[in-house]
Formats: sequence, structure tokens, C-alpha cells
Amino acid sequence: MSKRQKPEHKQLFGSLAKDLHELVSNKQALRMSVENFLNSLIDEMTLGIIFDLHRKYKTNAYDLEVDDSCDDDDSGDMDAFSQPNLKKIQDCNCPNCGRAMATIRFSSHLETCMGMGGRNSRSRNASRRAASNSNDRDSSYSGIPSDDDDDADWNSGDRRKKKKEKNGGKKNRGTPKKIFEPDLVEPVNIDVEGDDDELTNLRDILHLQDHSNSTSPTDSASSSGSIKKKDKSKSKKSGKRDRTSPSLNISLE
Amino acid sequence: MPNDYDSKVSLHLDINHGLDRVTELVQTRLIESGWRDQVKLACRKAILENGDKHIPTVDELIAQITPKARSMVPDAVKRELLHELELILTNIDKSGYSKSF
Repeated sequence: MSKRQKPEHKQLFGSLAKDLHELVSNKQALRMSVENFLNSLIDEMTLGIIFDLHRKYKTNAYDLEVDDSCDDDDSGDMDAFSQPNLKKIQDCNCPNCGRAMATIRFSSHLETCMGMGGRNSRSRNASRRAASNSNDRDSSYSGIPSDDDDDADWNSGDRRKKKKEKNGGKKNRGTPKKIFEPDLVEPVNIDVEGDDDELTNLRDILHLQDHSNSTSPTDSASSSGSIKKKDKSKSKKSGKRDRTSPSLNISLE
Repeated sequence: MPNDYDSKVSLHLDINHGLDRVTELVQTRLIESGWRDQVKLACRKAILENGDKHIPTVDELIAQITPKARSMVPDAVKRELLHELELILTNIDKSGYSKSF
């Protein structure tokens, strides 16, 4: 606070004190003013009550035919937690099966109905649809998992990789997805020692083959970069990748 | 001038840190006397009269209920509150204006 403001404050307070003194000394004026002040306070409280009740009636929190004596105990459609009746809130219709349900359960129902929630949440119909979609794609790629399956089984794929790396053996797990066309594959030095990590590497190659046939070489370079990253991650765990990664790059470029 | 009286009173009370106490005092007295419940009842009746047709608007309710609410304040409570407010103002004038500043 600056020094200039202090005398101004003093003058202001002086004038206010004079005003109050004049008001208090005049009894009639004092009564009138106090009465008006009290009436304004009463009006404020009345407005608060009106707004509150009007909102409650508008939002159907109260049943209109309830007696006033019963308000403390119960009021029509309100349950113990003073929430409106849930049966009235069934506004959602599932686009898949057409059922009507509450909004609270709509998201979980969609997960099961459309098969988007994960492993355990798939219903029979959803799994059939997913299988039919995957079959259509498998026929074109001859056993390579599609993007949708990758997305759906992302966690499961990571677990498989971890299990394979733990095992580290020559186990070919009998998947029919090993089929690839040797004519299209350029010579690549791959250690044929039967590591299951090779499968994923081959899949990547085949993906690249299909993409390179249809797309520009820049896409293959970017995808080869992705392969580099994957190979680097695996090289930390097994030192056999170093041989393969440079040859892959050379052949594809 | 008469229109400025209530604002002057609230101004003087606010400067002297008395406005919150006064409003709290008025509210507690009105609730204890049952005035608030009576106003609620009157509101509900006003809404239920037109309940089948439509719920009245806020403006309609205000126009209907505020004069009733003022008349429903018990005389004893009103006199007591007026007296206490006058006392507070005279005490502020006597003790000195706004000591905390």
C-alpha cells in the first residue's frame, strides 16, 4: 500500500462513518433501511427455495402426486439413494442385436456383442464373425495373420514370443502358416536352426514382399527400418540376428 | 433515496465484517420458526395446481410466491430481527468505523 493511498482511505472511511452516523441518528430512516434490508434477505432465501424446487420438478426427481407428509421417507420414483428410477433410463438400442438397455451397461454389452473387448468377452456370434473375416483374409495371404487378428491378439502374440524365447528350441508348433512362395523370395541368408523367431521374421519378409510389389520402394525402406528395430530388440536376446539383418536390407533395397 | 437504504446498510455491514453474521442470523431464525418449510409447501402447491398441464416457469413462481413468503414471516421473528439489526448498526457507529482497516 502506497503512502498516497492511506490518506485517501482515511477520507473515504471518514465519509462512510459520517453517513452511518447520520443514518443511525435518524430513527425513521434507520427503520426503513433495516426493513428493506431484511426484505431483500427474505427475497433471496425465497428465490433459492423456488429455484431448488423448480429444478427438482423439472428433472423429475419428485413424483408430482406425492403427499407432502411422505417427502422425508420416500418420494415416488426415488430409491434409497434419491436417484430417479432406472427403469425409465433405457434409452440405448444396440445396433448389432437391437436390444434395449441402460446406458450404464451399454459399453460392456457392446464389447461382448461385437467382440471388441478381448479374449474372454467374445460371444459365439462375435467369434464366428471374426473367424469368417479372418478366413477371407487368410486365403489371400496363405496363412499370414491379418492386421485385425494382430490387433486382437496383440497381447497373446507378445506372450507367445516370450514363451518362444524362453524355450529357444527347435519346436515347430505345427502352425499351418509357414507356407510361403519360394519363387518370389529373394535369396536371404537365414539360419535354418529352427528358432521360432524365424517365423515372425519370415512373416515380416512376406509382408514386405507383398507391399513391395504394390507400393513404392520408400515404403519398403521404411518397413525395413521397422525390421531393423525388431531385429535389434531380438539381438539383445539372441546373437544370431546380426547375420540376417544386413542381408535382409541389401536384398530388399 | 429510499431505494438506497438497503444497499447502504449492507455496505456498512460488509465493511465492518458484519454482513456474514447478519445473514446467518436471519437464516437460522427463519428456519427455526418454520418459515422455510411453509414457503416450500406453498411452492409445491403452486406447482401441483398446474402439474397436469405444465410446470410453471421460474418467473411465474417468483411472481406468485414472493409476496406470500414475505407475509408468512412471523411478526415476532420480524420484530426481533429488526431490533437486532438496529442494535448492530448503532454499536458499529459507537465503537468506531472499521477498526481493522
